[in-house]
Amino acid sequence: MSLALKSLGRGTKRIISVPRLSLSLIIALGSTLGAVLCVTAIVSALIVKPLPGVSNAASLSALKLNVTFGGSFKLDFITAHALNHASEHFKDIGLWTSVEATRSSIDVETINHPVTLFNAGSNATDVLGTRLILGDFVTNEKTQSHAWISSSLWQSAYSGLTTVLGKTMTINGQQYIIAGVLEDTLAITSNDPILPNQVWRYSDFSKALGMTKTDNIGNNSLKNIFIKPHNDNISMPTDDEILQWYNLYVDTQITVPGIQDFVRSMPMESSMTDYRASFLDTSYNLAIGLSITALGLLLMASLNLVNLFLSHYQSRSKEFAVQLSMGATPLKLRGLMILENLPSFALAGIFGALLGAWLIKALPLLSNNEMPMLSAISIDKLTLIVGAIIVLSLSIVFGLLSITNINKHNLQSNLNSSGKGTAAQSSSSISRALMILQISIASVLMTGSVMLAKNTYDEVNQNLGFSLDLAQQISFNIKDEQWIEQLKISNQADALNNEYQDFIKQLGKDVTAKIPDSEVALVNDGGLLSGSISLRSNSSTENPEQMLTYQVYHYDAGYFDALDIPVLAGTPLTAQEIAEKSNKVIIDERFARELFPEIDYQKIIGQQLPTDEEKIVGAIVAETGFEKTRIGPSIYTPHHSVSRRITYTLILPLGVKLSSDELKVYFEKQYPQLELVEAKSLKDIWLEMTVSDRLTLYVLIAITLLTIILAAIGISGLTLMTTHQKKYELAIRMATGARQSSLMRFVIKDTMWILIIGLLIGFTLSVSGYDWLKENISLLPEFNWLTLGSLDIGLVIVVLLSVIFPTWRVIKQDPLNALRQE
Amino acid sequence: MTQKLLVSVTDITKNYRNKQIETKALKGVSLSIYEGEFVAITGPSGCGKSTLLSIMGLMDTASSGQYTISDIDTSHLKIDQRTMIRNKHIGFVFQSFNLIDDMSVFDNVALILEHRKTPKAEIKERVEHVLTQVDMLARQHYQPNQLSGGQQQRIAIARALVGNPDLILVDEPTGNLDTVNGDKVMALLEKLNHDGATIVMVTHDSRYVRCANRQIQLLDGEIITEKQLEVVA
Repeated sequence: MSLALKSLGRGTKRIISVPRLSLSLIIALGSTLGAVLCVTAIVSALIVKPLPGVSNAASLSALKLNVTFGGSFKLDFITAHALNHASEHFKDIGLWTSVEATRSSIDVETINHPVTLFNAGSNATDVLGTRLILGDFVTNEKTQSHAWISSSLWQSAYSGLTTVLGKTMTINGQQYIIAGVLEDTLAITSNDPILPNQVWRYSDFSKALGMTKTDNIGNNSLKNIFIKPHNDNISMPTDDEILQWYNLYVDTQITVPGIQDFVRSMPMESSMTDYRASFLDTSYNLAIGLSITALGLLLMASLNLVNLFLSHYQSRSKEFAVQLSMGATPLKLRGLMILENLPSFALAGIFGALLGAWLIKALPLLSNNEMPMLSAISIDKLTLIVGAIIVLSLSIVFGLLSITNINKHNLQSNLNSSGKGTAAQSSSSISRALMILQISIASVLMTGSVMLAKNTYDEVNQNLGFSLDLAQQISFNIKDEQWIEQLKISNQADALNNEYQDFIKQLGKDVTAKIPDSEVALVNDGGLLSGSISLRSNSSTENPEQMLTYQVYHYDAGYFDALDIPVLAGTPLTAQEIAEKSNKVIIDERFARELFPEIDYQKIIGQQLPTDEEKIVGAIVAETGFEKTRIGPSIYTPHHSVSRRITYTLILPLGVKLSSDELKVYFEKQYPQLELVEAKSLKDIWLEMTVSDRLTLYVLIAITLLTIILAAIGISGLTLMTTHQKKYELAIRMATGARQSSLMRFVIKDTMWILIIGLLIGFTLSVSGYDWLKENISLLPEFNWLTLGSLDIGLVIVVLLSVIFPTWRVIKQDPLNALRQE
Repeated sequence: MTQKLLVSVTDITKNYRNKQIETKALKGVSLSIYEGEFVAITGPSGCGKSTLLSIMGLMDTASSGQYTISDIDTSHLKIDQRTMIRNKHIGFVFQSFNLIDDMSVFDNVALILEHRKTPKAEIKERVEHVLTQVDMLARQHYQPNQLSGGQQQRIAIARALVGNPDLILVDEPTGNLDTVNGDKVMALLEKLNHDGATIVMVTHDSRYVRCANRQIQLLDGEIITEKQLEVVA
């Protein structure tokens, strides 16, 4: 057997015979490699590879046009009507289209298939460059009657048969004929994950200009507006040109004066970006952030392993010296060591690939389905190549390190030393330098992850302004959509609207009657924790030119008391006052601050509302709701705005839970026009709402812990190694009367400078690099000195413990033995 | 018959510097070794004999002077060239054997030939031959740590012999052995010399100096005496 094969064989045996080295390698390198491969797969799918179903992505632009409220709330402005208007206005530039994705399902031969339903402009396939696999492209004539399906749906639901053409399918109660099969299109921005099973419905937007406008901003808005230029030399409209069109559209096309004033009162923001940047949005930053973290962890693991390998090689220095003295050249010996390391590295690579594949499978859970193109992320060729390059490079570097400790010019000195004692001490300088680097990286990585974790923790544990403890929620959907549409265009004084208000009240009474011990039924449109907000604008009574925009909450008597919302001034309306349609209104603290600046809260009570001279302020309450939707001043009204979803919040005795199934049967029998959607505690709803944030928090905590563990393993390994090397010196000190405690001080003193330099570098890098990182990774919160300080104290404690424990182990094992062994 | 000159050491010095302290291990040593000779280098501890042997074995470099082996001047050779000469021309036997523990006896002995890329069949033949010479063929599949000190030293000698070197350097071959095993090892070396091997041995055991046919005595890094010895039959 050749030396090369023998080395491979020895390396294979070493996996079992030297578990301290091989297991550390496989676990440390494998786990970090798994993270790196997972991140590489994400980067490959999102940033490197062509976007599935959008072959024109490179030439496409995406337009975002929002009106903003409260600085952070953005409302998509463009409707089908506006899109068609813009398309006509900028017709020399290119083709404009829109694709909106929603979740739906279709039944094929009694099997229900969840699908992503694309509602798109009739030119969308042409604009995106989506490949037609079977059948015909869309024409304006077919938009009402035909639908197209994706390749995956064709295969899974229709077994890939060409007879699928001409078959009918029902989407949201309407029948469509299947006209063609398109490639899977995964790169469309949506709130829901895009499934490979897809159905395309097209609309002829050119008809939108002739349609009746509701002038209801925010409803029926389009999120994804794409423009394909007629040729590569055409520039996209500038911000000024978009603004000019916007003003023209608002002036000429929004005809209801109140709505026009409302739109004009809110700032407009527009951005024209390339397709991929628009599609990836924050995911791009996430991918970059994950890449930096994964590479940092890989670097830390590698540094740990370098120390471990240096220690291993040092223990074999005599063997290497023998090999060299027997005629092996340094290059050849290094080559043999690379081969010897290869089986362990290969195993670490396999473990890493498996872990990476598992992490990719777990991505939907880890990202709470919020990462785009989840189904396109896989261990592909690029990922495997990156993995192989990392494993091979590390294997080579680690092999090259093998004879670092050997004095090639004086082999005899190595042969006379067995890797123990004073001769071995000179080799630890590389290890110390690596450890300084490792502490620095740990400090930087932990700064990022802990600051993010703190931010996420604050988000999850934010003060909502009301108590979640006893509140439960029951929600219904009104089945009759036509009734809702009629209600939406009716006035508050209409009989139809009164019918709706009475219906809500009656249903509320039945809910409290059905559920024993429920104290109060509170009604609001989407529920207390709903992410949707209701905005209203009124012109100021003092200055009619000034529009005042505010959030509207709905309430019933007892609302503030039941939810422990502090009343800061005045008294909330009683049930009788509400029934008598009192002119008192309730405003929140922010409303009071913004509309009655510098006036004492008590003095505001009884004052006329600046937005409505018929109303007076009855009470001022604290701000409520979660931060993302707490964006402007708020006002409370007992009059419920029309909504398909009706939600009652109940206060129940401690420990009582609603039974969703039992209530469903009862209410759907009593009210055939209703569908019970859910009956849950607010606490459960809050937990569901924050699942993504909590998962992020757990991942960040895991990254922080992994960083600490890697640093602790590295430092304790180095300490063990250096203390072993110093055993001879320690033994001499002991023989001359040093106590164990003074030996401990001696070792700690020796390690302290590593810690101090490492932390200083890490601290400097963290502080100076954080601003740069924040510019590039928008996820990062503001820099927090307290967090950084606590973090560094934590790291100091970990490092000290990592030094003390292994040192103590060595010291207590009678260092005098070393003297006898030398 | 005139003996052929194999090794020429001319005015070799070796200095070790540790911080501010310089130690002169060899102070201008010159000597010649002829083919077929058995030379014993003796002297008290720290006199420089092991240093001299290391320089002759190209395991260490001299601070100054010239060292020639088989007509090759080694003064300005690079590491790889020195390695090649060590592999082809020199066999080294260490006091502490220096066998690789996780290799079998056969593999330890075969190491030199493996590095020369010798064909497998030839390796097998050569290794078995030298193991037979040192009477260790039966132990060829053992691990070094399964053998006694004397047996390990015989394996080390076999390893030094296997490449058919021009020169065998032996450093304190009996230093780690008891008298019985020491005697056996020395008898083996004598036999090898009798069969034509050129041997340079460092020892401070005066009992075994008699096995050599020339003795060079060092003191404080200098040759103080050099004398021909009568070979004990």
